[in-house]
Amino acid sequence: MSLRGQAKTSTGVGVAERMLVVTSGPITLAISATAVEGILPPEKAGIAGVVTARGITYPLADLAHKLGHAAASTTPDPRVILCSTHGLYRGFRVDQVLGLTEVDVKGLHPLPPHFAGEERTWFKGFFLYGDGIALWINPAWLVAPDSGDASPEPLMGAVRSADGQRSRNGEIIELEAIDAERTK
Amino acid sequence: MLRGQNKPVGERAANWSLMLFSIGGRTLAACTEDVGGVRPWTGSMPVPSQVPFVHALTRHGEDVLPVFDLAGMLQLQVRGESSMCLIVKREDGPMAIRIDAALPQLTTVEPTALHPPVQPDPNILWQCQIEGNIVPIYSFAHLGTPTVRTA
Repeated sequence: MSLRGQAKTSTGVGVAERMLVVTSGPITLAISATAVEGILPPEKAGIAGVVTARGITYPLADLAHKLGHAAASTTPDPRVILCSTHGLYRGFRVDQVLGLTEVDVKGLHPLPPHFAGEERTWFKGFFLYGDGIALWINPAWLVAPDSGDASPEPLMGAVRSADGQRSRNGEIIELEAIDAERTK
Repeated sequence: MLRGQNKPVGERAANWSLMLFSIGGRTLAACTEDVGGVRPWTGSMPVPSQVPFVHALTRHGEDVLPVFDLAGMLQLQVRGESSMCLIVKREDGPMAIRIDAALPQLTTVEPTALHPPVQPDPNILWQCQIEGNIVPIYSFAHLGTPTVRTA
């Protein structure tokens, strides 16, 4: 099973973007479904720095490090997500997969102009998710090799001070961990 | 040149309507026209960012605002369990600033009570004395922007 090919759907009232929503530390992130090739329980990913599935090697990292904050020492339901775009492949450990959701494109907003730095290339925007907010990550940046100059600064002591993210609304589609497969 | 500072004190005819608030127990002020509202702080989500002091979004209902970490800029800690959120008007759009739990107060000062800040700070318009304390009056229009930092 794969999420590929399910990025945009018609909701009857408009076009919706299909996203996989995950948490990494205090941040809730959404990844376009077209960029997600699989979800693995961490024990299936092994302890090596790479995951190989169907002949594709995915270098593995903590999404927390990509985002500039420390990885949680323990999380209740961690997963590894396998991502790909433009011929680049990477796997990321995340704290939790919250589910697959469809977001009407009218509900997708760019970051406010106050965010005037490189972060505008890291995130395509945000949308309201449950009682909180989900950042829509740019898959091209997500799978690109890490660059020291254009990486997030450490979020020192960052915490989500009101955690409403797990109060999901009715549009969430529950997911189960699936084997890494691709439809290409 | 910041608003009003190119005029002699005597020509700044109108009284200044100020909102007093506190961060880390320190009293600060802003012109009421630069404040869009005050509401309870409902939390924020960190956003990785390279912009100094802009590292989070806060949501209130359907509204989402960037958070400016004024406490961090002043190297202070917000006090009180039920802190408040000050909505301020920056030139590029409204922002939220987390402030102490103490409710902001409105006051009016006469132009003759305004003095340039002792330590030049492009974010501060003037300072005044209120109840024996020197209170800086912040300008939010360009708060923390590169224009201000290099002025």
